Amino acid sequence: MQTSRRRQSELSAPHRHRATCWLLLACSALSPAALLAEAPNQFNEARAQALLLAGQAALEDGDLSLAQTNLDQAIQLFKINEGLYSTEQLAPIEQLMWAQMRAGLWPQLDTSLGYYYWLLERIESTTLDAQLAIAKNMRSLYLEAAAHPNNPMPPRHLSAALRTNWQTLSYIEATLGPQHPALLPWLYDGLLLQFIESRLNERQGLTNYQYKTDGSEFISGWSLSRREAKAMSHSIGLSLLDRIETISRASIQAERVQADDQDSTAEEDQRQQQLKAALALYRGDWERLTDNENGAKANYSEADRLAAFHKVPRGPEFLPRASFETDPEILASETKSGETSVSQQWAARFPGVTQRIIDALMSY
Amino acid sequence: MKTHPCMSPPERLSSSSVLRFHELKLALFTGILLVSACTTNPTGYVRTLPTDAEVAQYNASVEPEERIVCRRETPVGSNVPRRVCRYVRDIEDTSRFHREQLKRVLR
Repeated sequence: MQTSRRRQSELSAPHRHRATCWLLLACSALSPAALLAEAPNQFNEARAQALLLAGQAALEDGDLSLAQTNLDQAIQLFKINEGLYSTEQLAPIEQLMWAQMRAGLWPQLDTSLGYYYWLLERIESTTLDAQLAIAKNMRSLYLEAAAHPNNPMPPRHLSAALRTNWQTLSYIEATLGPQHPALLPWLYDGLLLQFIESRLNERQGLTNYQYKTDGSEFISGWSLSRREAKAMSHSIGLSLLDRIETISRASIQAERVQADDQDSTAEEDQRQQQLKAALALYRGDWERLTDNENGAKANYSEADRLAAFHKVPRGPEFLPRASFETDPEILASETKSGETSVSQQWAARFPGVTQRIIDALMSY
Repeated sequence: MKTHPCMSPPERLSSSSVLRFHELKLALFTGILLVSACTTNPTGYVRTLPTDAEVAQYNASVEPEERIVCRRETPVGSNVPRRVCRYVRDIEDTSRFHREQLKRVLR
């Protein structure tokens, strides 16, 4: 048996050598360039960027499945090329979260959110502007998620939008100080979000959701009644307007001190009066939105002490106003420009919230 | 007769109005005493509860069990509701304790 097997191997040896030679010849015939064309470098940076752009384009076109595939690959490539804690991953993860949210993939969105926040904690070298942009993007994402027709837990995402806004206020206070004018747009956005939450409170059974723990259990014992939640929302709105007034007043004073001349004193007085009237107008709006018509009238008459405020529209259909302005001309023109979108509702589950308010919150 | 707004009240009011004014002053004084009793502890330290906005801002930055819930409560033996703030963990502990007590009684 052994003899025959050896003979067999002796016979097949020349055939093996010949096959190896053919293979070597074939390999040498193919140029290196041709080989490169056949198998491109899967890990180059340009490919990751291209995948990110393709993902973004697909997201804009509404091809959510393709967007997710491209963005997922882009994240992996950035992870390999730039490192596990690289900032380059942030953009594709953000886009991926938008795609997952729009596709209604809630568990996948939660996973991406977990990874995103984990990554943010590890990235230290970011600027204030970059942090604010991240906060604004997350707030917009949560808002759109809250309005998604297939979202099983819309109040959870609305609460997350509100929480993001409060956290950003705390962050700006800690970084720039509690009286910094950078707080103003976030304070007014807080008022708009408070209004949206109050609309959700109108729907039965959702009032106490903001006291829900991050787990699946409701807090037993102390949950607020709808009337209490409404009163709280009203009180928070007024506090936000008070803070806007304090900061704006201090800001006008600081500008006058810097200018330090006689003309600027007169100008400061005028601006302070205008601010006072504008705040009275916004307080009137807030009272009107909470059905306190007497409070609204009292505040509106305070605003009307400045003649220029007479022409600013106050109809409930225009409220709340999309942004905080003190100039009566701008206030009047901006309120009227929103007239066309007055009837355009944002989402069925948020009665009375117009698309105009959401556009203002999502604008950069 | 027109009176100057800066005149002292007895000068510009009739005798019945003066009486009413004194009653009003007494009520105002009592009110101030009550309010200060609510906000000042025996050491003279002024205790103020956080506003709803401050609570909301604080709650956004802490873990769920560290959150605060404020509401108006009418204490036993009084008709005057007052604002009470509690930590969520305390509320949970209290309700757990009450549940256990109830179980013990029903056993």
